[in-house]
Amino acid sequence: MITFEGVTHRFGETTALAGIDLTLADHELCILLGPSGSGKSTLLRLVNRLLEATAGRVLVDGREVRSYRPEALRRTIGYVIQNVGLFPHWKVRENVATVPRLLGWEPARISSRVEEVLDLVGLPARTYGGRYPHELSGGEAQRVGVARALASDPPILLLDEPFSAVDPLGRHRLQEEFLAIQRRLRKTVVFVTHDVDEAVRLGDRIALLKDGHLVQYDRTEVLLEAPANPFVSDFLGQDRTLKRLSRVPASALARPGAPSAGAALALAEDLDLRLVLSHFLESGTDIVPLKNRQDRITGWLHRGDLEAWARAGGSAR
Amino acid sequence: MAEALSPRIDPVLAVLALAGAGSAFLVPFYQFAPNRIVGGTDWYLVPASLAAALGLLVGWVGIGAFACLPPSLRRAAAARWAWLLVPVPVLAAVAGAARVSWALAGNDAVARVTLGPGFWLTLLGALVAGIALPSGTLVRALGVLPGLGLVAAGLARGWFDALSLVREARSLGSAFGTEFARHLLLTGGAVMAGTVLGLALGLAAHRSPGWRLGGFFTLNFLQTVPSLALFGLLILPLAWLSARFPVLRAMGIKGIGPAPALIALSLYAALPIARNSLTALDEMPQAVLEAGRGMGMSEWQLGLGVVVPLVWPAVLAGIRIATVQTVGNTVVAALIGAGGLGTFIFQGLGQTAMDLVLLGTLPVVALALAADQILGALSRPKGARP
Repeated sequence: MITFEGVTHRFGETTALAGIDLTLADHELCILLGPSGSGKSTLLRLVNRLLEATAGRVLVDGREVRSYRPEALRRTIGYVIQNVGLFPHWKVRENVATVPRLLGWEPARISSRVEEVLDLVGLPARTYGGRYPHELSGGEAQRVGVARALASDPPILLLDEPFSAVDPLGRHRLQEEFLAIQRRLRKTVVFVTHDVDEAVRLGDRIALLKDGHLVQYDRTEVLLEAPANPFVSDFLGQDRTLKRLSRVPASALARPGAPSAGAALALAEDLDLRLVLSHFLESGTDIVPLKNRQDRITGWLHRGDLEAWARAGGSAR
Repeated sequence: MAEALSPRIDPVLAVLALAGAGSAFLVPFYQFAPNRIVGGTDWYLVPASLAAALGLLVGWVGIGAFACLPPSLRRAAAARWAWLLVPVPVLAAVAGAARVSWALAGNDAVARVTLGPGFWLTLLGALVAGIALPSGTLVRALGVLPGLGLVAAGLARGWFDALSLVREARSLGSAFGTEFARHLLLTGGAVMAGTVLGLALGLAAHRSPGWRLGGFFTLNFLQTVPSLALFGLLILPLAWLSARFPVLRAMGIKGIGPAPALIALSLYAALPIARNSLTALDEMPQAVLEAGRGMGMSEWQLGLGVVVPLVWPAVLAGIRIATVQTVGNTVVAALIGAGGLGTFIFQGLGQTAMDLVLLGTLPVVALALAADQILGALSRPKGARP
């Protein structure tokens, strides 16, 4: 659990954070969202003491971060930054081994762990372990960055706009992969971004910041359904309903039914509702069969159900 | 396409090979002089030593044949062994020198053989061929070191005794070794001091804009002052300091001699090192430092494990430039009584004894080439640049 109590941070004259109170629950992915200059990166860096709060307290699991030696604290917290920052003179394998080596692990344990996390991010050590960072694409480098942060299996992961330097297609894949990893590992993740779509796609909760103040902190669905003020609704955009739909798989609204249609017409049941709506609009139909990974029809989705869900505020989830 | 673009025959090597082979007949290789003062008569390689001429031809024809190979073969990995052809004409020319020296041996204590234009052109040609041919550190070492050993052995056994260079060296006695060592000492000391100074200035300039402006302005300005003038400028303050503080005098610090030379040479050596280390530090990606810190590296671990290895290749390149430059600059230091190989050069100029000048110049050239090769081999990067 990460707790901010009345945290203020000033850079000289400018106030980056003004009295933030915020508690982040274990095993959740919390997004720090806001326009540039809102203080979201500053808040993140207070956790691993790359910055120190001017006033207030930052606690990890109830203990003040100030009571740790900074290096010791940082070795227990995974950290990923936008420009990756891989060490250019070390191979991928050595980069990933950074924190375990700092922690003084046995070489055998390090090398087996390195292979494990590289597999986890989809870069088999046999192929990628011996490469230098300049031999990687942007997406691959950021995967290595994530693997490096996960190497010592820290309970907390801090990510500072990790995917924003990657092209849109690659970014989407990285987000999907990261979400899959997070579903397995269930780390306590603090994720800074200015990209609303990314926030909605990934976040269990979103903390929206503006000019160093916390504007709203809620579960992502709640934030989309009930923005606290005009700034929040403006920042989230006019298409909040579509964004809500994008977080729910088609299977959530499926009705059971006999398979009378061919699997060829069916949509994958894990497709999100926004894409199902798009399908309804394009095809002009009102009903569509859903299929699972094995191409078996598992049920039906009615357009009316989808529209009702959207109007009702998404209590079906 | 690539085949069409790259020339069928390597023009540089082909021309070198033709000129080299032709030189055996067309250019005098040695000159015979009855004493140190009188001008000599020319000797061509072909009547002088048929064996040497044959060796020379074999070497150059081999290089010419390599130049005519299909380009794909010339680029093959095994092609670098062709570099072993480079020392062949040189060794042939040296063998020829031994042959003519031997012909003169015991004849006359003052008659001498001077190395002529053909000999020097062969050296020059081999140098160019050595750069133009593909090679590796190992092949170069294999090609050069045995030849150097052979020449050293020959010198020791008196094969070259009638060569004017050897005569001059003999008449210098132990002075040659002393000044050679002195030259090494001055160069080494200046490069070491310049490295410390350059690194410190690079770091200071990286941290503070004031140092960046002031420090580099000073070094750049000094670089424009001719070395001889700088030596001269240092004489006065050092002489004053030496007179004022007996401790300094006891340490041998005076207005002339090694002290001002070392100071001036160190200042010259510092500039390329400072410039390179500043550039490398400035170009250190900030993300790398932030990632290292964020993962819990201490400042020491970050410095030694990340910053030093990333900056080192550039610093070493600076040291390489500074060393080659200092080897040459040290020659001038002889004028203010610091000693070194420049002593012979200026003596020789004074006496119009070109062989004495050569005796000072050749080791300087050899030292510069050797320093360049050795430091170059050390600075080959691991293939890891950001």
